[in-house]
Amino acid sequence: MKKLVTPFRVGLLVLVAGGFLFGFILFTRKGGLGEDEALQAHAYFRDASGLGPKSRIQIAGLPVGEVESIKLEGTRAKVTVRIRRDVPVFEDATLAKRSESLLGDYLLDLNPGTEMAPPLKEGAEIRRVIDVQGMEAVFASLSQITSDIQQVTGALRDVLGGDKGAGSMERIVENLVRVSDAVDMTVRASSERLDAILRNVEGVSSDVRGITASNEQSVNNIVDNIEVITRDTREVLATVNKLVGNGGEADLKDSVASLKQTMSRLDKTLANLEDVTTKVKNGEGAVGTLLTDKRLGQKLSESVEDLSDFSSRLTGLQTEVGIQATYLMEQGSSKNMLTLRLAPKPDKYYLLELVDDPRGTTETQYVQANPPSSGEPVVQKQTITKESFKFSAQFAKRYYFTTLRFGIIESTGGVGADFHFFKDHLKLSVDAFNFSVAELRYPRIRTSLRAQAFDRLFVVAGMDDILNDPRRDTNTRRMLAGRDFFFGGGVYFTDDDLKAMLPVLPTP
Amino acid sequence: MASENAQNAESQPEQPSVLTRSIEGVGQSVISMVEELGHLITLGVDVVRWGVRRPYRWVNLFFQLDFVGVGSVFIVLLTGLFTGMVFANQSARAFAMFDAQSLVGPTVALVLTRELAPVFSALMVTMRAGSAMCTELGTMRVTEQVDALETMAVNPIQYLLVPRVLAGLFMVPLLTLLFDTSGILGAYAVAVGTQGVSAGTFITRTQQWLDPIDVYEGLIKGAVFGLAVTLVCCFKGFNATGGAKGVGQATTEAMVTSALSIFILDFIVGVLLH
Repeated sequence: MKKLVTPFRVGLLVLVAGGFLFGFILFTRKGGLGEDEALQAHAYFRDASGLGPKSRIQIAGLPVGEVESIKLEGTRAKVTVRIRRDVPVFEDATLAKRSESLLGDYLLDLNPGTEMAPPLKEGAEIRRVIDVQGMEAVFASLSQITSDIQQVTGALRDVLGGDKGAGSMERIVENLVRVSDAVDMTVRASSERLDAILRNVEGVSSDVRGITASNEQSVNNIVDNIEVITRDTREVLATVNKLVGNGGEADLKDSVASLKQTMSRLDKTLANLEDVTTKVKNGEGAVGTLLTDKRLGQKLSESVEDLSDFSSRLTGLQTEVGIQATYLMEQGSSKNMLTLRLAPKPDKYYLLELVDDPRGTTETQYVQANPPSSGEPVVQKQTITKESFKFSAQFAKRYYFTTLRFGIIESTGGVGADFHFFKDHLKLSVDAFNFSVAELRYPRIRTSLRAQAFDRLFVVAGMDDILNDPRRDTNTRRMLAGRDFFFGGGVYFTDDDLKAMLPVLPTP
Repeated sequence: MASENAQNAESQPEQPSVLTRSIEGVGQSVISMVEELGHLITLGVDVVRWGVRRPYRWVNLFFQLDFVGVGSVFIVLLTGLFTGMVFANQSARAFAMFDAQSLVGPTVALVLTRELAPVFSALMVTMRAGSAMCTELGTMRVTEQVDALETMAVNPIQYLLVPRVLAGLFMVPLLTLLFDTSGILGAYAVAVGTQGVSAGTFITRTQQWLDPIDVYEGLIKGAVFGLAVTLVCCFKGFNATGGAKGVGQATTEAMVTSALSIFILDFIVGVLLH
């Protein structure tokens, strides 16, 4: 047992450590910017210090690439970069070097350029390059500011430094002292008069405040009235100016007379309108009843809602009309189908089909073989197969990539399922129907694969009646049951196609 | 009387001066070290030579892999966890002085994977397994069990030393990986949990700065240290003399020499890899 346990423990340790190593490699793997995933380009920098292989390239703070290599070419650094292909980069793109922090962590900011420029090609050069950014620019500005301050302090030193400068400073200070003394004396000498002036001003302002406080409402009214008067005056003047304009006084008289007539008619009209509205308000007449009867109003509202709901469903209904023709290999003839697909919602539709099936429909009749007067009736069973149209009416509901159908399939009850792949360009269908036909041992199972080769065109192939044994009509050799392969194609039109076609169709 | 004194002076050898004796002592130490290094290298060559010859002692090898590797897992995980936690705690405080806590993750990860993990893993193996190896081999030597093996035509180097050295060579890199993982997890817990570093920043910046080559460097160092440590311990134990006291003396020397060799080799391998 010991011999088994020891290798197991060692093996377990090796597996765990190997797992950790694998995890580390996955964790530290950088970007995966291979040739397929990334575009290679290069740029020339005068100063590439701080950059190195695997330095980040980012847009809006998000990594979109990395530096692949840096080589010296002449006096410039050729920086080769890889940028993810899913990031559109144009020929007028800009690469800017900047420091991410004070610690000298450098990266490249990529401005991808404008869509007006052609897309950047593999191996192309990014011509717009900004070498100095961020902290370096700040340091450069600080250096300039420091230099300016040094110049200012130097000038001050030249002016104020030395014995001459010290003498100037002394005189300036003395002058300032004298000025402040003079101001102080003036203020002291004029203080009584200033006090009197201030007292007068205070008294006047106090009176004004008393007047306005006691008649505040009146003052407000006066102000409002003045505002109204000025507005009315402005409007009247504008009207008069417009009326008088070019016509002069005679025109003005005519206009006033016409205005009087108009006003008279307007009075009559308003009287009539008042009469009508009074009747409506009192619930007289059809309109009055409609507006005043709550029950009628509620019913009308519900009717409008129903109508709106119906119209929205009708306008949201997607229609698809299709024709499909398939060649049945065992049967040796073709099967044609006209399809109408009504989809009120994207995940739900009704499928109506008119099918011309060479297998035809089978009817069973019971016929009395002997004359009615010849005793016990002999009943003979006759099975008649005839060519006729079949119809299908199915309800379908889609869940993810699967659509389930049920209803009438080729004039019998049945169910079906569709499996959609490649954005619905490929569809695998399975149908089961004819469950109750006594002549068939098993239900009719049909599978088909439909591929949409082009827009609105599709090809289809499959197998019909998979489970039943072959059976043919003895007279016509028409195949009645049994496995049959088929292939064919079809075309379908949607709402938009029909809308486009209808206006150009000839009218009878 | 005078002639008698002269005869005594001629009969006694002239004593060297203190300076001469000091220089001789230094020289003797250097010669001993070089001799010992030569014996160690010779033993290493013998281990390689006997390691590739049949019969292969698989049972012995797995026993030593288990003893050196599996037996050291717990102590290595624990050491790694606390090393990472302490390092993250201190570096976060230091980086906080200039608002650069985002560098805690990559700093800890780089230092652990490149340096601390292989060095500490090798030291743990030295203390736990190397001392045991040295004592066991020394005891076998002084009790003449090694001689008994030779008498039975069993090569003691192949039987005793090869599995131990191979175990050190293979297991220390694996323990280094465990140390890396537990250390970074410990650093994450401290940096994110107590120092206010955002989890996303810790992970993103670590991912940005850490390269697979850093992990590989630690593994290479781990293999070199494992080989050196087990070889030194086996050498000291295999050549122990003087009974129980000699075994103790050999174990002490093995520990000191192993620790020194780890740090010296760390520098040399680091220079060679960069």
